[in-house]
Amino acid sequence: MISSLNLIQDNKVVNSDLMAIHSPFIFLVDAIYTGEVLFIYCKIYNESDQLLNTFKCIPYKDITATQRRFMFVANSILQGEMEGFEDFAQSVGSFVPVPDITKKFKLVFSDPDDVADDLEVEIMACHGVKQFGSSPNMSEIYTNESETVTGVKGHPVYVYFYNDNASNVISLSDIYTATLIVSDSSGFVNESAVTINGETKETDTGGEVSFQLENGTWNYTIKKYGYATYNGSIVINNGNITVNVTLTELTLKTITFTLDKLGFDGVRSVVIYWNGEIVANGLTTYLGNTVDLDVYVTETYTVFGEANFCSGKADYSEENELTALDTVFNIVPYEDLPQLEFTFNVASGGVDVEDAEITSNGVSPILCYSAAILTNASGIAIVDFFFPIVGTPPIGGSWSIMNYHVTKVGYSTVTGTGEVVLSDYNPVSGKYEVTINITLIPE
Amino acid sequence: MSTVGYYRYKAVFNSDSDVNLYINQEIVATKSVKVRPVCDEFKIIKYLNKDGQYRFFNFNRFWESRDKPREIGRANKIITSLLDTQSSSSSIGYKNDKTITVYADDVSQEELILLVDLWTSPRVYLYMGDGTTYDISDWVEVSIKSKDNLNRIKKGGYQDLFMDIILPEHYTINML
Repeated sequence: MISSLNLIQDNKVVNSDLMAIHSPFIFLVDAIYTGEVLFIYCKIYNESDQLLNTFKCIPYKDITATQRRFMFVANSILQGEMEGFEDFAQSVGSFVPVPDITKKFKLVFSDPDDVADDLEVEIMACHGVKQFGSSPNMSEIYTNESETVTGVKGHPVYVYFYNDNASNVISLSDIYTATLIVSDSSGFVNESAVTINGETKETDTGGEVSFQLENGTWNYTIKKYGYATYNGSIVINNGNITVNVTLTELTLKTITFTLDKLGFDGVRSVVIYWNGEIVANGLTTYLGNTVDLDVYVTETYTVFGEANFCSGKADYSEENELTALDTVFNIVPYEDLPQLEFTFNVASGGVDVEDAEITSNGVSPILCYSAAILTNASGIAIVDFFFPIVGTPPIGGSWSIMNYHVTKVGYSTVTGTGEVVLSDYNPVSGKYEVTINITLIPE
Repeated sequence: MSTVGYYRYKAVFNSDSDVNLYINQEIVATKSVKVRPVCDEFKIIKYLNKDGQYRFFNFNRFWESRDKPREIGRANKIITSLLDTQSSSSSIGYKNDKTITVYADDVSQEELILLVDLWTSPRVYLYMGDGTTYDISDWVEVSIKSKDNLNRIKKGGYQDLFMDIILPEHYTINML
């Protein structure tokens, strides 16, 4: 039984707050014991106090009859817990963060019988080759002291700097202000989206927007609905710069959007998207199939036409450029929807039930049908319709298609959900086929 | 907003240069890049120094390479005909240990001090590209071996340097 654990060698060097893991280092722990002790544990935790691994420390030597020294060779194990620290790909001219070369660990030496108090040692391990006996320190490594780096002429070289505060704006050259003033033929343009270096800002009422940039050439894009997208570049060379940009106004034009009646039967909507936002939308009439919408030309839009799925066609969504010459745009859905077939077998007490009505959410007739659906003399009713099954089934593995109600006078109503799974597909018929057996209970 | 820790700038220099770090639009640090000259068919190594930073050093074109091929072993083969069977055994394969000895002329005392980390670096790479690209795939990890390097302060302050670069074992051919 171990009564106490004492750390004899902690690998700390005077004035050093780091342990170079590429040096060999061994922890020595003495166990004061009675009876027999074959090993002690060393558990390694990371900075978040997660247990990474547990090891057995092997006996090193007996100091006295009741004091046994154990050793734990830590460097190779901690090397495995550190990042691999291979070099990583970096483009020439870039200035990027690199992985930290230090990591905190906690080593906990413990008694297998859990009698003696645990012995905790916190270390800051670092990549590095300072041999045991040297005194690596964070203040030495994390520094921006002047340094000479050897480079090879015409060959890439790395220069490292240290940043100690996340709120710092760091760069390799001074930062200057680039101001863009955006106008059109009649004045300043506000709320135009200006994008430089992955950052997007909108112009104010004076058409102005500013960015903080280093020396160099920067491409920018200006977008606003009603104007042609503007692409330009600015050069920052040791000074602030102001750039005036004049946007070209586009022509507003009325386009007649025509839905192919076969695919878009009934009152359906047309929605026009520009740059991800709805810029025009309208409804066709029930008997007609057109809607006039005003859009700017020449631009690229996503045209969306909502289909009536009873026609067996999917919604229409496609990018198109509408030019100044376009007056009519025809929308023809081309994608067929999957076809479903629910077969209801209705019986009561083992006897087929005729004239039981099948409804959806209690509504009759079911959508896409003009008359009520009733079971025949064999108690069978078949409901066929189209449905936009796309992608993989939701959680549970099935699509919930229809909340059915089965009713007949003199019987309690039976409700349920008609569900479809991928395996219901019949390649011969080309349909998803589901059989639903219903037992009616006499009232 | 920025990240706390090291940042690395990758650049190509043709002459000695200074690189400045600006924090909040003020110069806070300067590092000097001292460029070593090159010649055709030179060798470059990249190594991890004691601070976990990658450094480069080049050697001249007067390098030597030595191949040490040897057979892995042989296995017996069944003889089916005494008339046309040439051997009673087959080679399992061959492997080759390749070593390149590189030389650097006129290495200054300051460069020798910087190179101290090379001898114990856990990551040393040799450039194997054609000089047009410097991707990660153009470097192969190697190990190095050197005789005792005496850093003597000499008149003129320069001395020559050489070491062996041991490439990973390759050219293993299995013929079975």
